[in-house]
Amino acid sequence: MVPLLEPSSQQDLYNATRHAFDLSESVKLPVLLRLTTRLAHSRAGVERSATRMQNLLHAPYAPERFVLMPHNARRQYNLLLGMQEELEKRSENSWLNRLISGSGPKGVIAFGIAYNYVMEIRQAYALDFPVLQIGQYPLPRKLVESLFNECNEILVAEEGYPLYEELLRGYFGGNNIRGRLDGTLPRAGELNADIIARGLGIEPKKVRAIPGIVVNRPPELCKGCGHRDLYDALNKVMNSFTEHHVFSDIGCYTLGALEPFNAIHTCVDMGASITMAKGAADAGLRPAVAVIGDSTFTHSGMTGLLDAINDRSPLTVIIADNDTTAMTGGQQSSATGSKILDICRGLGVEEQHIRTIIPLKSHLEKNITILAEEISYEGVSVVIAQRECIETAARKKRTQAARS
Amino acid sequence: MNINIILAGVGGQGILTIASVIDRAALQSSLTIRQTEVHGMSQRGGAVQSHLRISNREIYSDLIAEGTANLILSVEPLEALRYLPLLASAGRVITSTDQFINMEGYPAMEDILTELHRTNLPVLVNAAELAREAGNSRTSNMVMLGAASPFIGIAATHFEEAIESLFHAKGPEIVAVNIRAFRKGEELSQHQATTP
Repeated sequence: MVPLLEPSSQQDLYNATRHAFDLSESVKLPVLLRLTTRLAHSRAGVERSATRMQNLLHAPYAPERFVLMPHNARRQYNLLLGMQEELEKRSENSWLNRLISGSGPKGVIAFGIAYNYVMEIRQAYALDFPVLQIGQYPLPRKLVESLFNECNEILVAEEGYPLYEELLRGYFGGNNIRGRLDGTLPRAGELNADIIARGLGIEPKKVRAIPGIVVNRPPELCKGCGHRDLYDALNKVMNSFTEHHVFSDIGCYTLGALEPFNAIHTCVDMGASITMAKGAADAGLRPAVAVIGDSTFTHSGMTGLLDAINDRSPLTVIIADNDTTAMTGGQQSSATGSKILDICRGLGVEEQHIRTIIPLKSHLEKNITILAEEISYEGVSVVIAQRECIETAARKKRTQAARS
Repeated sequence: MNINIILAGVGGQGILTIASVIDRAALQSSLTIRQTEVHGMSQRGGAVQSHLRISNREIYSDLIAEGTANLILSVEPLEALRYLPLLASAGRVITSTDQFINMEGYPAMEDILTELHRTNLPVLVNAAELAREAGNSRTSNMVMLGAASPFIGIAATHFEEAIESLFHAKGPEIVAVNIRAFRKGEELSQHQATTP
């Protein structure tokens, strides 16, 4: 319904981002830019275009566009429906969609990053099948039709969910379409050149196998990390209960789910440690314990905590405050240290049930006592484990040493 | 020119820094690059790999296909073996012999060496020792880059310029020790190549 751009290379991504702004301003619609995993995790040299100055401030009073009460929403939706033909025309002419001619009978429609793998195989095996590259939606119907007219069989190469394959097959299934839904490509998982080759009936030559002696090396918390000492203390406390669920969240501390800790039992979405613990507490689970990091707490943990306070749900929220957003490389966290204490007070946690501990080996006994006290309290309690991430601390030390 | 490199090691060993130096050196040489991390590089202690492709023409895939890597550059010996299915039949393994043991069932070094010697003339590097000789034990990754550099097809001066620009902000001493480490690795590699 709204335009979506899905470039395949870093240079196209750079150009498409600029194109997206122009397109959005021209059609007065949001334009989505879709990146699948690989493009977001890769680098290449990119030729930059000339910098453009920011547009002059233009803040129109247009309540019929921006106040989405039902009468306006209906009008906007009709407008959007009326624009579909125009948006499709733009897709037909977009540089992000192009038909690379070749000789059939097999053709490939390659969406987004799948184009890279298709072209890699086309080049490596000197093949000449036609390829339709799709990087701008809505789908350019004429281009798609011309590929279908040219070929007896079409391979749909799509990263992630086979959305367009489903649409192209239709409810009753097109019998000349190959892809993830008929097993020509695997139904799940990231695509790559080898998978596309197999989808085209080429078996890449196996040169070597992984030697039998190679064992897995799962990630782990750093040696000396404060989360280790927090989990050592928490495990001691939780082991004294029959029900010892710990609800947690996403961050370095999620590694506490693995050996040797096995300390946490959930990680669903940001903030869910608190809301899941609250739901469990309301359903009668005792104790109900949540572990959440400082930046996840400020991102989307505070609202859940307020909810628990309002409902007087008996739960203990452990905030693992390492003074940074460690997992993503040490970015600044929105609130750490005393700010977190202030937030908890402000939300309404009782002063005597906001406790701080320092997760260090030498504090193990003390920390066990404090955690046990708060976990057995029949109300909302917060334990803040404060110790700076050892990586951030080491980096600071090195920077200081380099400066002096 | 077309070269595919698998960078391997354990999270936190400086693989991304190696990738960054090669990326810069390749761009300086007006070559096309694609570089991608296959596992989260920020994840400490786990196995990590980065795929790096350099060419003088357009590169399509960011990922290296099975059996098409020219080099496996590993900062840990067991990790070099993990990616052998990606190595081309004439491909070379350049690996540090410094083990990083943080899990159950780590195999015996002699078994690892046996597997390494099954590949085509592996270059084995005592990276930690050479890094210490260079003056900083944290520069093992630059020793390894130096050892791999003769196989990449980019002039050593471009690598040294890349090291200079990458470490510039950390001061001239850090730049110098990283370049010394790079040269230590390069020397060792040249020496191994000429001594049977």
